[in-house]
Amino acid sequence: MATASDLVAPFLDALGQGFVLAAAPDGTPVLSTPCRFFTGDPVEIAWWEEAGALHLSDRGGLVQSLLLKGLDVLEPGPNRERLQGLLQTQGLRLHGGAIVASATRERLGSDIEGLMQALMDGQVAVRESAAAQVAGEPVIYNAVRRTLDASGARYREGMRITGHLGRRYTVDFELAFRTEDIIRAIMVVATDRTLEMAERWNFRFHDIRRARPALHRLFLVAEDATWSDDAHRTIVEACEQVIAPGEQDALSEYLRTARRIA
Amino acid sequence: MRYGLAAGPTKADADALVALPKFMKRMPRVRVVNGTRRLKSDYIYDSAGRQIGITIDAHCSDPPTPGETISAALIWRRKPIRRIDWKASETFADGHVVSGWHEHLWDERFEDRIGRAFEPPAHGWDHLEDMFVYVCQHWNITVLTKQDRPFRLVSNDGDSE
Repeated sequence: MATASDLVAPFLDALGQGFVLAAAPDGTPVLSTPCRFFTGDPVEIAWWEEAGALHLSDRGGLVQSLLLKGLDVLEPGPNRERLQGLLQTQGLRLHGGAIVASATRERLGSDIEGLMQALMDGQVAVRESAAAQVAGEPVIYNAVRRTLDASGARYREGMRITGHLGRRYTVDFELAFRTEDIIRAIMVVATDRTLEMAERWNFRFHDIRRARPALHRLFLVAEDATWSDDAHRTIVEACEQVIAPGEQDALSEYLRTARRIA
Repeated sequence: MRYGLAAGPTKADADALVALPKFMKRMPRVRVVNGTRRLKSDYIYDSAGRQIGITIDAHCSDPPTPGETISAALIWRRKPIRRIDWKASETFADGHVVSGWHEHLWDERFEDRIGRAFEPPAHGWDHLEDMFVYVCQHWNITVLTKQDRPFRLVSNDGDSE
């Protein structure tokens, strides 16, 4: 196999300044580029030959940068599906945590440029689409209805249930502390961004419980969700903190009679 | 420990958390998910037994693509207050340039864009588990076995470190 310099040297001038050639610990040639992910890490491209074909990879840089920004694209879920869909449109594939592309010796320079551009586009597209997504309200309302119906509670439609992964968390949190007549709080973990939801709400309830021990809490989990081990563990612990022994009955009574439990 | 709306960690927070003697109750199992081997820590406690809300996340592809290296991060409040990685060339925000293995540190100004070179064990870390135990030791985290004995990294020739 040709050395890293042999293969890339003809293209370095065309690629421009700021490129550094090196070898990874396993000896694979690596090109460090001046492009950077959101994390500030440089985009690095590795290449190798396999069965007579040339391949490029980002050495796991894109997935790592998304993970560090709170987007878990390793676990099954909408974030990973979004990334895979985006990569497919650009002829790339996700191998574990690395983005892999095919290349040719003759067009290696432009293939590297193409992969760099795809990585830059990918991190922007995945982060923006994830930021714009909120926990689906129909899912949350259905889960609340199912639980209330199962406990025989009477309730009015249109009650306000919040808990998006955005600014409204803050509003709910402060309201629960400031407003004395709020005696009920509902925690919902829906199908999307499960671990993040569980962790944030768990923290929230932890503080509310200390400040307002009389606050009644209801914990709902969407049954049809696929839980990661981490999300499952967090939810189990949150349930233990939120629902004290006998509290579920008191809550059901309150929901049935609308009277505050002493 | 405050939860919720506090600002991000400061350098003092991060350094104090790393220096604090900590332990986890057992070695987490490696999970293989979507072609990636992943090791995420269980809860980590301080020496008084209080859960301190930090986690370690280490992963690599299975099998790794050529040129790919293992990376590990110590996460607190969703921020990587420490991170170990390999790069052909890494230029930190203060102008410091390192090649190869390095550790990202944390401060409130540059976040994790500062760092220093890092020396992996002499016998390398071919496996995710090796790296996990090594970085735990580096970050003052003892991994307890069922017998409450700390894990010790053992090299191939049987000598313990």
